Amino acid sequence: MKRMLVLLVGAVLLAGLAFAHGDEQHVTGTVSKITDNTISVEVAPKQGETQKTTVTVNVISSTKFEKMGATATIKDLKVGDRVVIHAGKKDGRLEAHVVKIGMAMDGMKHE
Amino acid sequence: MKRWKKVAAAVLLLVLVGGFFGRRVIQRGFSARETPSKMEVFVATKARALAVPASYSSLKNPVSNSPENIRAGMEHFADHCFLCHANNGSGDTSFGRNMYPKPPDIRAAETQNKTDGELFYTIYNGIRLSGMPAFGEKDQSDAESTWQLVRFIRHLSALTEEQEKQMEKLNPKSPMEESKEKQEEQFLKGGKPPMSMKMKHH
Repeated sequence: MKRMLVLLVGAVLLAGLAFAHGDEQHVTGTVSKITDNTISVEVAPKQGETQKTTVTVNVISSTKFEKMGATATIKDLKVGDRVVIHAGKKDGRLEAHVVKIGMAMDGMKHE
Repeated sequence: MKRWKKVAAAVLLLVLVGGFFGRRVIQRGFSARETPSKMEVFVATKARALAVPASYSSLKNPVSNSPENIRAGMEHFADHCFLCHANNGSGDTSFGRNMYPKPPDIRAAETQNKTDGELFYTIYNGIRLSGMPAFGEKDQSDAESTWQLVRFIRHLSALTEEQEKQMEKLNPKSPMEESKEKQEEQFLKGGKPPMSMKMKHH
């Protein structure tokens, strides 16, 4: 019964997603620039587009960093690294909640 | 003053006050993005406190504060509660931020000062006119798992990063989220980038 109730609530909530404007984005790409409080990510063109774009995400005190599943810090991040950033919008800017660091992009050298 | 005049004055006052608040409500709109007014919070909090029977308020948690019970509560919370309350209890999720009323930060005193019985009652019976459903079986056959949740809620302020990561693995995901997560993992390990690089995540 409890599972049924949870499934029902989940279904109602998920149905609402089709109309909801969620405020969390996944920014996936290659790091092009790092400052003390921002990470710029070069993202591949979306379907139907040809130009790469750069998205800048702010790093805040609660931003968490992960590298291969382990806890990391911004110091572990290098230009050329592949990243997936879970970010929320605040005052029109993106704030990083979680930064997942991956391998460096082929042919890129760490600075 | 004659009686009819008193009644007329009272009716007029009611109409004026009703009109004032009605206009404010219409002006504010009915968006769930808003934060409830102080008046709404006051009335709702009082009503909620009165709604918990005294027999529940005084209940003590019958399950021990063992790592096993906390773990069971944690798994239950990650599966059922995280969508609105977040794994760490902050309520800082896409759903939580956009609900009316917003789920409270259950690590804060407002929740932690409640008795075990009050927390149990809230989980079991839900809260009317809010997003909190009644999760308990009427016959209380699942009371133990709810008490374990109460244990976990008490443990939230001591939640470790490791435990939060374990919870993330237990959070239910839609097929689309699972597929996206796999693509992102592959990308991080050197695979092809997902087709759409920016994803709206709910």
